[in-house]
Amino acid sequence: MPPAPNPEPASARLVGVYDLGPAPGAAPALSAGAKTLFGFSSADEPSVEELLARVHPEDRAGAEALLARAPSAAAGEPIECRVERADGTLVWVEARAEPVADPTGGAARRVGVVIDVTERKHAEATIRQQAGLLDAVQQSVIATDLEGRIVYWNRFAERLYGWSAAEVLGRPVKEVTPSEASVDQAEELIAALSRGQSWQGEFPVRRKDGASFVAFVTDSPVFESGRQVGIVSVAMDVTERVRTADALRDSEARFRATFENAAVGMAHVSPDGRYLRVNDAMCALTGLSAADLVGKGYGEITDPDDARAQRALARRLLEGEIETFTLEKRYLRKDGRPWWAKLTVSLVRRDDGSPDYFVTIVEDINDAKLAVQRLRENEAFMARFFDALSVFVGVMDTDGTLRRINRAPLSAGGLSEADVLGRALWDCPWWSWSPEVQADLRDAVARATRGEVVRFDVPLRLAGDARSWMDFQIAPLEDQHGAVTHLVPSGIDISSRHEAELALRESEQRFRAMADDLPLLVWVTDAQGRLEFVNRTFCDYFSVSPGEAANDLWRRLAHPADSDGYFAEFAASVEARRPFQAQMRVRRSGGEQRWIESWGRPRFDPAGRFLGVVGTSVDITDRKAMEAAQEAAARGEQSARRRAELLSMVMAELEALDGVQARARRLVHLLVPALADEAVVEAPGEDPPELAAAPSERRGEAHAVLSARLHVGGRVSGVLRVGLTDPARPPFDDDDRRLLDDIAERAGLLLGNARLFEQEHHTALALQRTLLPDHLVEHPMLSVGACYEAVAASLEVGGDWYDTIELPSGDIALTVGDVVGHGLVAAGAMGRLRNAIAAIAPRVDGPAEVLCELDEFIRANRVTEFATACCAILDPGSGLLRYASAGHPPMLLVAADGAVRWLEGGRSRALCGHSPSHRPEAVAEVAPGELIVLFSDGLIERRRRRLSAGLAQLAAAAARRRAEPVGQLCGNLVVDLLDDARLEDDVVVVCARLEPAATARFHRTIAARPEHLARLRRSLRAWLTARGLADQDVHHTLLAVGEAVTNAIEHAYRDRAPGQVEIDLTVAEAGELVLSVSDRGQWQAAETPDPRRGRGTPLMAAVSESFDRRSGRAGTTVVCRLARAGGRS
Amino acid sequence: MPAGPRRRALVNGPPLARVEIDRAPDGRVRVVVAGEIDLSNAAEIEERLNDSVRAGEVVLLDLRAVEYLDSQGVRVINDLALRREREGFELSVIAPADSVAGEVLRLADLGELLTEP
Repeated sequence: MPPAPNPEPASARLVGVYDLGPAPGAAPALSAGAKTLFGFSSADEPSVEELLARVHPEDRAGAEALLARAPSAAAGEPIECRVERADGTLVWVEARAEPVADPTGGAARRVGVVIDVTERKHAEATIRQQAGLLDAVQQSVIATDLEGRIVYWNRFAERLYGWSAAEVLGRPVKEVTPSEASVDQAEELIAALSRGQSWQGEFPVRRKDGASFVAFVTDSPVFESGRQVGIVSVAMDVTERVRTADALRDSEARFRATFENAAVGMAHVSPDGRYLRVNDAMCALTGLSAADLVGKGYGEITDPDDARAQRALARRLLEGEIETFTLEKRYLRKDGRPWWAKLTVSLVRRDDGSPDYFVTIVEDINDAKLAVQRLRENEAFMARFFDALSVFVGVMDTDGTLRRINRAPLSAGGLSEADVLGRALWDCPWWSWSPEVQADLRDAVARATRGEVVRFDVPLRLAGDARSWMDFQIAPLEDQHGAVTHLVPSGIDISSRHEAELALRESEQRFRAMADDLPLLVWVTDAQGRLEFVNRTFCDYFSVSPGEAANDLWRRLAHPADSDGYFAEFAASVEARRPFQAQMRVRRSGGEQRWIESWGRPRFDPAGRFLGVVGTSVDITDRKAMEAAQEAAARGEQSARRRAELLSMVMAELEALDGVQARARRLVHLLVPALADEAVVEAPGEDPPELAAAPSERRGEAHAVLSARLHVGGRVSGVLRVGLTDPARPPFDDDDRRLLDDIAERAGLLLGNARLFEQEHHTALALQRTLLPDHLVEHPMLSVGACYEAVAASLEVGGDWYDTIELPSGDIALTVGDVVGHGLVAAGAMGRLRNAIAAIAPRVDGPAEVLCELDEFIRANRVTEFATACCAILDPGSGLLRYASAGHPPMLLVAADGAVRWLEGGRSRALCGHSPSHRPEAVAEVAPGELIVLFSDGLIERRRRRLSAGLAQLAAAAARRRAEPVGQLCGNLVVDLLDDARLEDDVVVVCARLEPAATARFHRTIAARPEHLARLRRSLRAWLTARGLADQDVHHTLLAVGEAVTNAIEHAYRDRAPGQVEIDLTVAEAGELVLSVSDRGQWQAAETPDPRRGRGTPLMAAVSESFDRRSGRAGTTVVCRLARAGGRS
Repeated sequence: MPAGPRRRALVNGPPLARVEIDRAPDGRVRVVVAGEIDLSNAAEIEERLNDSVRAGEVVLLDLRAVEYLDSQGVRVINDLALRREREGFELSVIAPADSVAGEVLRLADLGELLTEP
C-alpha cells in the first residue's frame, strides 16, 4: 500500500501530492488538491492518458518524461506546465517527483508535489514586461529613495554612467554620479520636487571612468499611497548636441570676426605655385613676412603629402575641370611643426582665358582639428572598455597565481585588483566560499599546465553575496618551444534566469509605481499593434483615462499630417518585429500641438513568441525648437562663410583691374549669380548714368530689389543695385543687406580710386592735346599728316610735340621734339617750346638758327633742363629741304619707288639752355612723290632691343606703306612699330608727301569738330568745281564726304578728346573719284540704336558705286568710289 | 576743349542757315529755310522749326533755297513730319526733285513728304 498522502493545509487548496507507485507508467494516486488542480472531481481517478490530456500540448512532453522516469531515478529539476481544466480555465502547475525508499525494503516509489504557480507566472510576465520596458528605454532611469540611495538602475544607465546596477544599488546617487549642477539648478530642483512637480535641466555629469558628459535630466517624485517615497530620474547624454551648439557659436563668432576684419589669410599664387601677393593676416598665420613669402612656393611651407594633394587640385582648376576647391591641409611652421588650415582656392583668368593667378583664402582650423583627434582617441578607449565588460579574461602563472584580470569580473564581484592579483585563482573571493569549486579549479589548473584546455561550468560569488554561473575555460599559453608559460582563464556569464526573476519579483511593486511615475509616456501593445496599456503620465499628458487605451487612441491624438507616416513605420516595425522609432505631432486636450518622439521594442515571451511592442514617447517640442535654431545657426555660418568669400573675391578682383568701367563691370558680374540674378552700378548725374550692368537671364520684373550707396568719393555718389528675378530664390535678408553694404563700401573706395586716377589722366591728356596744334598746314603741293599717341591708362603723358608752320616765304617748317620727363610739367614745357618755335621760325633763316634761338629761349625762361628737337624747312616748289637736329633721332625720306634715306647730317647737341651759339644744318633734295617722316624716339625705342633694329623696322614699314594717305600712314606706323608691345612712352609721328601733281588730289586733315565741316565743304566745293564736275556730282561728293566726316565726329571720338579726320580724294584713271576718309579713333556703336539716326550710311551708299568701311586698331577708314553722272564738262 | 582764335572766328561768323517764318492771320504759316544744314547747326534749326509750328496751323516748309542738306537735316525734317498727327498741324514740304533738299529727301526715302508745287 502506498503510504497515505500527507494532509494538506486548508489554506493551500492549490497544492497537491501524488504517488506514482513503484512501476513506471502506472496511473498516479492523486490527492484531492492535486485533482482540483487538474480540474477533476474528488471522485475521479484519472488514468495517465487522461491526466496528460489536460496538459497543454506544448508542455506535454516534459510531463510525460516526468511520469515515465524510473522510480529509482534521482530527483530532477521541477517542470512547469500549463493545465487546461474541464471548465476551460488555464493554470500553471509546477511539478516535481522524488524517489522515496520503501522502509520495508521493497521497491522504491516516487512521490510528487504539484503546486499552482499561475499567479507567480503572471507576476513574472508582468515583471518581464516592466523590466523589458525599462530596458527598452533609450534614456537612463535611476530611482532613489528619500535618502538619495539608488534603488533602481536600468540597463541604459549602466551604459551611460559606466556603473553596473550591482555596483551602485544601495549607494548614494550623489557619490555615483557626481554632477556639476549649478546652485540655482539645485534650488530649483528641490523646490519643484517639494511641490510634487517634475524638474528638467542640463548639466555636466561625471561617469565612472571620470569622463564628463552633459546630461539632460528629468527628475520626478515617486509616490506610494500619496506619500513621496523617492525620486525617479531620467537622463540622456546631450554632450554632442551641446558641443555642436558651442562649436557653432564659436565658429559663428569667428566668422563674424573674420567678416568684420577680413582677417582671413589671402594670397595670390602664380599658376606654378609661387606667392605673388599676401595680406597681413597671411603673414600672421604663417609667421613669415610678406618679403619672405613672395616668390616662395607654397610647397616649401606645406606638408609634402598635402602639397601633392593641393597640386593635383590646382591642376584640375587650371584645366577648367573645377571652378574652385577647398582643402584642409597642414602648413609647416618655421620649426617644422605642422598646423592645420582650410584653403579655399579659385582661379582668376585673363581676358583671353589663360590662367592669371590663384586667389587663396586661408583659415586657421588647427584647434578644431586637434580637438577632433583627441575625441577620436577617447572614443576608441571607451569602445575597448565596453567591449571588455561582459567577459572574464585573465592571465595566470602555471601554478594558478592570477597576474592580470579585466575589469568586468572585478566590477561584478565588487572587487579591486588588489583583492585578486597575486593570489591563486581558487583563493580569489569569487570562489573562496566553496571547497568543492576550489578543488575543481586546482584540478583544472593542473591539467591546463600539462597542455590541456579545460572547460567547465562554475558558480561565481558576486557583490552582495549573489551568485552567477559562468561557462569557464582555462587554456595553456605556450612559448615557441611548446613549453607552457602561462594560463589564460576566461568565461562567459550564463546565470540562470531564475535569479533575475527573483530579484525582479522583489521590486515588482516599485516598478509599477515607477512606470506610472516615469516622466515618459509609456505604452504597450499586443501582437497586432493595438494599444493595451498606457501609464499614468500618458493619461495625464493627454487627459485620457487608462480605460481608453484599448481603442484607437493614438489615431485620435495624432496630427493628420504626420499620422500616416508614423503609423506606416509602426506597422512595418510590428510586421518585421524590429525596433521602432518615429516622430509626429500630437494634439493635447487643450488643442495644443506638441512634437513627440517614440521608441518601441518588440517583446517576446520565453518561448520566443511575439507579444507586441513596449514603447515610450517623449515630448521633444523644445528639442525640435533647439534643432531648428541650430539648423538656422548652421545656415548662418554657411552664409557667413559665403559672404566672407564673396567679399574677399570682390576686393581681390577689383584691385587687379584698372579703370572705373572695368572695375564696375567686374563688380556686377561677381555679384551675379552669387548674390542676385541681376546687378547694376549707377552713377546718377554722370554720363552715362549706368556704369555697368549684369542683366538677368530671365525676363520679367525683379521680385526683390536691394540697393546700397556707393561712396565713390568727391561729390559723386553712385548706387549699387541688385535684384532677384528667379521666383525660386528666397528674398533678401538682413545678412544680404549687410553684405551688399560692405561690398558697396569697399567697392566704392576702389571705384573712387580708379575714377580719380582716370580723371587725372584725362586732365593731363586733354592738356597735352590742347598744347598740340589742332590743325596742320595746308598746301596744294604738300600732304601733311601727324599723330600723337599717349601711353594708355597711365598718368605718364609726355613732353613730345610736333608742329607744321607755313612761313612767310611760302616754305613749310616741320618740327618734332621731346622734352625730358613726363607728366604735367613736361607737357607744359612742351607747349611753351612749340609756341616758341612758331614765333621764332618766321623770323630767322633756316632750321639751325631756329634751334639756336630755341636754346636761348630755354635758357632765358628756364623752361626745361633737357630737350631734343629736329626742324626741317621745305620749299615745296623746288623740293629743297634744309634740316637740323639737336640730339634728336634722324628724319627719314622714302622715295615713290620705296628707296629710303636717313637724313643724318646737321647734328648738334641736345637743347639744355647753355649750348653753342652756332649749330650746323644740312640740305637734302626731295623728289616729287617722296615722303618725309619725322618722329620721336618713343616710336623706335623698345626695352631689350637695339636702336638700330627699331630704325630698320621703321624704314621697312614706311617703305611698305608709302602710298597711303599721310594721316593714315602716321597711325599705321605706330601700330606696326608697336607690334604687340604696350606703349611705354608717348609718340609723335609727322609725315609729309610732296605730291607729284598736286591738283590731281584733294587732301585735308581737320580736327574732328562739327564747326570745321562748313570750311571743309567750301574748300572741297572749290576744288571740285575747278575740276569741272557737274552740279549733281559736286553735290553727291559733298554729301559723301559730309556723312563720312560726321560719322567720325559722332562715333570715333565718342567719350574722348576729338582727334583728327583725314580726307583724301583722288581722280582715278576712268575719271571716277576715289574718296578715303579715315580717323584714328575707336568706333563705338551707340549703345541703344537710335532709329532716327543711322541715315548717313545709306545716303553715302546711295551716291557711291562702291562703299567700304573698315575699323581696326589704327582707326576707321571709309573708302568709296563715286559715280559721275555729269562727266567732265 | 581748346578755344583758339580760329574757332572763335568760326562760331561768330555768318550763320550757315537762315530760317524765316511768315505767319498769316488765317493760320497759314510759311517757313523758309536757306543755306546749309549739317551736324554743327541741325539742333539749332530743329529748335527754330519746333518753335514755329502750333496746333491747328497749316505749315508750308519751303526748302528750295537749301544749299546743303545731309542726314542731320533729313532727321530734322522727318522728326517734324512725325509730330504732325501728335500735335495736330498740317505740313507741306516744298523741295522739287532738282533741288538739293529734294534729291536728298528722295534718296532717304522720304519723298512722300514732298508737296509738288
